[in-house]
Amino acid sequence: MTVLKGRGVFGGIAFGVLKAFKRDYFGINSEKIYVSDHQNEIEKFKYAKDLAIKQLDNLYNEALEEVGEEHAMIFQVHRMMIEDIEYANSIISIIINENANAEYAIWLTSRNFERSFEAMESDYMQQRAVDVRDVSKRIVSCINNLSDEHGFSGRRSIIIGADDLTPSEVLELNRKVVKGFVTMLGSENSHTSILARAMGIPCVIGLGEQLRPEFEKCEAIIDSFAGAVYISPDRVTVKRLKKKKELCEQRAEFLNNFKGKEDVTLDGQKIELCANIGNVTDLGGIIESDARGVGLFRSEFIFMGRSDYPTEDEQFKIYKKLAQKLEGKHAIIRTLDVGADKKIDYFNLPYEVNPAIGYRAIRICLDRIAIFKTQIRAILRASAFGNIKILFPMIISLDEVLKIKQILNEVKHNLIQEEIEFDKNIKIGIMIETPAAVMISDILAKEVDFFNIGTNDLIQYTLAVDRQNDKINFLYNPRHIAILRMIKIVCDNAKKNNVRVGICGEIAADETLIETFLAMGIDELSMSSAFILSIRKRVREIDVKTIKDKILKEL
Amino acid sequence: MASFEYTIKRLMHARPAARLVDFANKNKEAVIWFTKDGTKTKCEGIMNLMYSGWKEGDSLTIEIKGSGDTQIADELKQLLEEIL
Repeated sequence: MTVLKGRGVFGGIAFGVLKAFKRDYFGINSEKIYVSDHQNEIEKFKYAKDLAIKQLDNLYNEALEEVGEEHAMIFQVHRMMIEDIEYANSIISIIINENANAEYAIWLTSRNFERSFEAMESDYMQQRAVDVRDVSKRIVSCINNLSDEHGFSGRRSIIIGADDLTPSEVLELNRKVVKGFVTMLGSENSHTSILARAMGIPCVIGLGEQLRPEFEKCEAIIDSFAGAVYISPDRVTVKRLKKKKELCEQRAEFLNNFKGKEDVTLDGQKIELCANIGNVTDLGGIIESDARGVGLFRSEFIFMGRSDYPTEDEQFKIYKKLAQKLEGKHAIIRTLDVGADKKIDYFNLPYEVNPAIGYRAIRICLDRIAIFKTQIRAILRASAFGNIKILFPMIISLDEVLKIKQILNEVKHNLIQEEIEFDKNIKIGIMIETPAAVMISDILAKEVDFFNIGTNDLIQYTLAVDRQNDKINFLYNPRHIAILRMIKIVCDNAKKNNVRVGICGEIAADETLIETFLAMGIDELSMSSAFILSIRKRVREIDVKTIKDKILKEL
Repeated sequence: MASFEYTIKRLMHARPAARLVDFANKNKEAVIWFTKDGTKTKCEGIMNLMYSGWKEGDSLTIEIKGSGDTQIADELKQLLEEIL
């Protein structure tokens, strides 16, 4: 048994076989073999082609159920690539003209098509070369009768090992078989980690060189409470962790008793515990955890994992579903927050030395107004179907808020003219996640209905600590007095102006800070739904009036 | 034969290409050609459509030959408005 030490992200235990995450791996034997029986090679290719099409159809159907049409679409594109007449003709003519084996003909054809894509101007199209390679690899796998390694099929539990994973790669993991993941790099505060928490995937990150290729296909256990990964665990360890997993499940069951209970302290102070989500499929977790609503819907995930901008209608359908499924509970939809560590190919964002303080979020939206207006229209249209609020990220000035309100009013005006229904009194709010916004929160409070304090970025900007930088992770301190004072300032300015104030960063679920937040009078805490019941339990044990003065004096 | 002109509003991507292939498969009784600056692309395989490199502002001439061409042209026009 080998024990690897890293940092756990989401408290959980997972068992599975370790498999390396394959990103750009060709795996086709390009060796040319002289074959005189053309017909046999062509038959081989045709057989594999049919099999690959069947696989892709199955993948499409499974993905459709699991992740929705926009993510499933890629499998249809792959199918069309296989069925492309020029692609097939090229393979057949290489078999005949070069007396080559089918595998070689596929490899050469793939390489030629890949090069055509790579030569294209757009970055997006250049990357489609990967799709051609993927498709070609699939056909060769079918010839070799190899099982589909990437795929949604397969029954064994898997733990993915990788240097690092991007947020969209995490989003696309097949949850039926992938029980957890481990990475060499990574930071607890990156979006990858946030997403893993939101999806409830146990993972251990920052393993560095300890994670070695020879562990491929070894049995492994992740204990992300302890930040440990056990490779080829001995029987005692397996037994111990099975027990731990059971206890974990029992605690979850105990916490179920808090479903349906109010979020109220012993002395009657109320606070709403809501969930952060990035996807309508996460709504299951909200019902499971009995959240009071969606405190943060990260709309950028609608834009990720696809090849082109979602249309107004596509967005509308998602927001409408969100509104309807919540049955009157509120949903705060944050407009597009891309840039920084959330890159999307088709946005063609230029390379930046300092993306966290660069071209991102509202800055992109106020520059590319068509994208922004499309999203606002979709959100407004959906507001006719439930309790939707709209939230704008990365605000630093009053000017921005006024511009946003002007755009919002234009869109509203158009909808009225077109006689399309929407909630005319839709509540608007802003993220308070820059020190600038904190310092002018008294001014901003006059313009909006609610504040959401985004502590992840606020901490990074206030402490000048890059949250992705592993080396200075110890400096990323959510309990820093500067941060707590900032939250207090925002809270006081909000109260003075009758503005609701919530926290939607990761610290909303920090049990050690709940008393502080209650003392300040925070109205709403929004977190990964997995934490809601345990925070509710904690809230219900607190008597605010006895601790309030002492806590506020210390700030 | 039916034909019309269309000015592209967005960069050619995988999704619109797939929709066009799908459209061609459903209308096999006709042949659809796109012409841009003298270069002809048949609406058939996804690869050709994807690396056509069409982008915003490009104007295409679309020709449809075969039975039901005028109706297909109308439907195609609608589809193009939606996706490209």
